[in-house]
Amino acid sequence: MSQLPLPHPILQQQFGSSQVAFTQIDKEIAVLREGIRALHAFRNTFTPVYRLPPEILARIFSFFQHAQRHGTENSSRISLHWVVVMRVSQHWRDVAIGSPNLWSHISSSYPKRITQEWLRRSKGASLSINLRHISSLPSEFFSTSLSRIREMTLEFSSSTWRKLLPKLTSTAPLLEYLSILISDSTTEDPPITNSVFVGATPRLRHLELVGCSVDISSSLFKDLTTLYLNSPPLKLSITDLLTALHNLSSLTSLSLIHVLQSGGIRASGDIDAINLPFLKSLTISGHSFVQDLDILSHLSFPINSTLRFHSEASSGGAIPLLLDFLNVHKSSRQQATTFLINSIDLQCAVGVLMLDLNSRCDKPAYVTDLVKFELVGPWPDGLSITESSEATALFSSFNLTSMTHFSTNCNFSIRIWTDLFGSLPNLNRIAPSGTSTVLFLVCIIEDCKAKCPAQYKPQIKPNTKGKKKKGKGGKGKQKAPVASTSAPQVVDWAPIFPGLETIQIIDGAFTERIMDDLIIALHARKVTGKGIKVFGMMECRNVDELVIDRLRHVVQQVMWDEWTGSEDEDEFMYGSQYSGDDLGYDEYGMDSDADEWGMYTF
Amino acid sequence: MAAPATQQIKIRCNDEKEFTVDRDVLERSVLIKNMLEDVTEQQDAPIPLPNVSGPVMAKVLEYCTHHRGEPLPSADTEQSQDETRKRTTDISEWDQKFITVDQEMLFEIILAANYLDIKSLLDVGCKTVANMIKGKTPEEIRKLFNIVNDFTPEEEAQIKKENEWAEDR
Repeated sequence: MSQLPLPHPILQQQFGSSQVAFTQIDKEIAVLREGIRALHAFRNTFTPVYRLPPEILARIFSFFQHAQRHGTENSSRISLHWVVVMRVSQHWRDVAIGSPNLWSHISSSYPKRITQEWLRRSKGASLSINLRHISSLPSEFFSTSLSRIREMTLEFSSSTWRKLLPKLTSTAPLLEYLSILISDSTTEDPPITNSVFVGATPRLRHLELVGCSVDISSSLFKDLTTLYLNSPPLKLSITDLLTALHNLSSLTSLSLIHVLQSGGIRASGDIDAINLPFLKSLTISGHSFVQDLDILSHLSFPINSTLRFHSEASSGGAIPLLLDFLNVHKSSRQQATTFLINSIDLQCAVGVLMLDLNSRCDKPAYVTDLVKFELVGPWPDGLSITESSEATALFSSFNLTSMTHFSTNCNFSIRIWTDLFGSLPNLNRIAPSGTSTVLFLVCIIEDCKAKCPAQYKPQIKPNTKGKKKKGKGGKGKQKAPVASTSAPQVVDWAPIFPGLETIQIIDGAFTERIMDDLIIALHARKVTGKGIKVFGMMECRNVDELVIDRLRHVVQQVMWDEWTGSEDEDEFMYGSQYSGDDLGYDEYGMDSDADEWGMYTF
Repeated sequence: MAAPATQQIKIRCNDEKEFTVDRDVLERSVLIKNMLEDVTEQQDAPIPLPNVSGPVMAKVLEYCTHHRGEPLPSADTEQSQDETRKRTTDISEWDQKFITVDQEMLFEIILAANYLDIKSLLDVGCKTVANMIKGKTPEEIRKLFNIVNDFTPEEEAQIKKENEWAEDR
């Protein structure tokens, strides 16, 4: 048993009774503890981090606090894990408590006592408040603090919104960011009018309103840099909307989603072009194509703006409308010289067109060199462009010479693939998807068959086994081609897609026959110095390890997501949808009895 | 009239170490920029920087040289950028490599950036420290910075109770 330390003899003499002893000793312990604590605190002053003055330590805490933010940059939802700094040392705690900005983010999810404490610690700092999904309103936010609020994010039910709106009747001189989302909103809900904040929000720059009716003439719509309007119950007329936009020349981001009255009413003719010289991003969505074009045709914005344009279904198809749109603005560029678009991302549901145009800034034309083009969509019945004249009309607005990327799931006929795109010198990457895959691949195969000198193809053996059995990618039936070890031969063969280096196929389906022929064609390109560097397949059917292994011998890199599809889908793809003639292609349907190259060896 | 960008300026650190540096590099420091603007005649005497040592100044100059030519935040943009800046602790690849130094040097760089008024460097330093404490417990943070716990057990229990609701969020 260990011995207890004996009290110091002098101390022993001082204690007349045990009670006195306890009191004295406890006092002594407290003094010693405080001494130790003070020594610890004193020791901390010699650490390198202690040399940082409080304002810098507070700055570090602020970065640490914001690093914990969830979601988007503007999200006011923050993790509160940052308060761990309060438990590190007395000094850190004092610095944190003495930094009002750290306590200025307040949420309705905090306990009431915490809200009050944080409001107290925030002293006079501007506030960022976040009220979500609450049924009753914390009065402390609106009684004394409204004038201090810099950012306000509100997400309410319609009934709470009705209770809140009358409280927003004092000025908000510091308010810079306002986001309101009303769930289950109705046309009965009161709109935001000039009475909100008494029309005094001189610093408001960012306004997001979702499910919230607005009086567009309200003084909130002034000097904004970001405006996001989504689904107000009371829709706006296009004339009112455009009139309001006249006062918003500082906008850098504008999103108009389901904001217009239905019916396709055009803007009245006397509205001048609206100049938005600082606009970087424009999103128009949820209206008819005609309405969207109507808005667009009144706006003037810089060449480096990005446009996202997602229209509702419109009868008559989108291509003629798109052509009209391009032609109108192409011809009107003299009048609206700032209406130069660098990037367009267009979608419209019937014949969804998604265009991504890049143009060089130094060219004074409206649509200049087309660098990247995506023509993709969930076509209701598939989109087929089989007539060269139709395709030429679609693409005549653009200079295709510079095009490097082309993605599509539109069924161009082989002739169009060949005539319109096949000779483009800079086309480096093609990403066909779905039903467009097969016709694109057949272009490469047919070109090799027709033009590549025979000695550069694998040796062809007659297929003595007759009709091939349908199966997964020729599994176990053919030798994989052997990689060519010698340098590629430069031969007098200008293959189709001369600059092509990357093929990325999405949602395609391969028959055994097409894969065999494709491998021959890719082999020929490789040995003649026109090889494909990357061949990617995502969500493709009839692809397996053996197919990948064979491809690896004829391209530099194969990318495959190991996705496997069902046999039924294959039957649908080639058995019913690809009947052949309509697409200008009649050889590579499911019935593969027609001409074959046969087995090949290398 | 603005001096030509190639003008060479001499500075002297607190350890007598001197550097001769292109003016546009030095003008990344608002402190030095203001000093140079206040001087009407060209002076040969080095500018004294009593709060910065030679080795730290060498690092600061490495940063300023790399970022020379980049726009300096104006007084107008400073306030609006302040909030945005705080919202991310991302640091560019070069800056990350640059700031990979021992703790002693890191804090010296921060102090020098603060003294010389180089906001972007100050932010790089502060973000680095913020990233260092990310995901750590108080005990781990103490260990990282050689801090000892100077709370009494009662205080510690009280603070832990106060913060409990927040730390788990």
